[in-house]
Amino acid sequence: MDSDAGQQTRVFHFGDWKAPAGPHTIQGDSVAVWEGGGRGATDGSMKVTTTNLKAGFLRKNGVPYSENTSLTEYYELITEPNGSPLLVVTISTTDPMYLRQPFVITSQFKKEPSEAKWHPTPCSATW
Amino acid sequence: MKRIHSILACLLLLSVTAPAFAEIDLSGSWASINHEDAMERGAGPNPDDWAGLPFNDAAREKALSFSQSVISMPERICWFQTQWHIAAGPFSLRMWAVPDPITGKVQAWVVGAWETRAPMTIWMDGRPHPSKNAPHDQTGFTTGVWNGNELVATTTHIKTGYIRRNGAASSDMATITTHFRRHGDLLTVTMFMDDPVYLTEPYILTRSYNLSTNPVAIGGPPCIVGDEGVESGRVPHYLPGQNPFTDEMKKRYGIPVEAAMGGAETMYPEYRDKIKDKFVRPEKCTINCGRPAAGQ
Repeated sequence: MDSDAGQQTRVFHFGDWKAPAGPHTIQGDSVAVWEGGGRGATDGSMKVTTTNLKAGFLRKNGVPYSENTSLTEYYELITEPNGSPLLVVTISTTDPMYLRQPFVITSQFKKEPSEAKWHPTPCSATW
Repeated sequence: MKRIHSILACLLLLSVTAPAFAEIDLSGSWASINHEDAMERGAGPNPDDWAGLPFNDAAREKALSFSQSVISMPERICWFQTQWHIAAGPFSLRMWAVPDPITGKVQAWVVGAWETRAPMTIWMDGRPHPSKNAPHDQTGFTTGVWNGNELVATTTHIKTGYIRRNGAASSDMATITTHFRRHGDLLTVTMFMDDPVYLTEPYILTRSYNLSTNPVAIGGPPCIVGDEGVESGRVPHYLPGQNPFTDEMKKRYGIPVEAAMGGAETMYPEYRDKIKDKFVRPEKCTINCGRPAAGQ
């Protein structure tokens, strides 16, 4: 999965994939399974579990997460009343070092008709 | 033959006691996870901050006439919110199924009430929505269908309400569509507000809940009208051009007034490019900066 900020690519591994030994990384190691109706189903979800993350920030104002953090995400296609697809992502962050309970947020993404607005840019420290 | 009868009896019993294929159990107390949109769900949004709302001009004008003191009118102190308050309010949910007394099948799911919101009864028995001319109220009329593991509820017949607690309104023509999706002990609720009167696109909010062993209270003590400083008969409001808060977001955070006034384009990330040259970073953030304000 790519995003248009930072040019970091995430890889979701299916099956009995095992993370290779090595240092923690910004994107960590992600294992995915289909739940519910399965791939492409409007009642299903893709569950992604990510570990081996480098420490980082939960919020851009300095709230940290540690390298012991694990991330559980649910990617779900929902059909809007007008028939348009909407991607809803629920993210639960568990961190035994800095959090007393999972930190849960959700985001929605509207499907674009083309890649005209797709402009991935490298991370920049400029304001 | 006897075995066939036994199998038929078992199937009949299962059809009465078990939900239809792919339905899931949503019953229980669901504790609200308010890890995002804290201001909107908690103390309330900034006045005149309508960024991210797919407003049309009529909605903006109506919102600009809004005074928060409206909720202190004796006539409105006990005024219920619409079912949109599930998305925009802070509270937890309690859900249960109502069985049909004859067949035992789920006739309705109920999302319990809060102090400021009536229960949402989601009729699952295929009954139609009333005539469009039927009376509207804050509760509305809701039907539901299963889409595999997902419960999809459609609410119509609501009265005018709000979509953000600073005067952004929904009309009595609005339709609310609610998707309930369960992931183990985590419930994600996605709500769509479609409103042909005030919105140019659907407004979408999502929320998360944890299954809880602590029972969530439903309803609350009876609302009693008291004196909150607004005399009966007076409707607090701002006349056109007299709203004193239109530049509040600019003063507090440097956000251009045109962005705070909302509109569908303010929902999307590319809008940042449009206003980036107008954004002036304030020298110091003084309120709602992600940490307790000075002196708190």
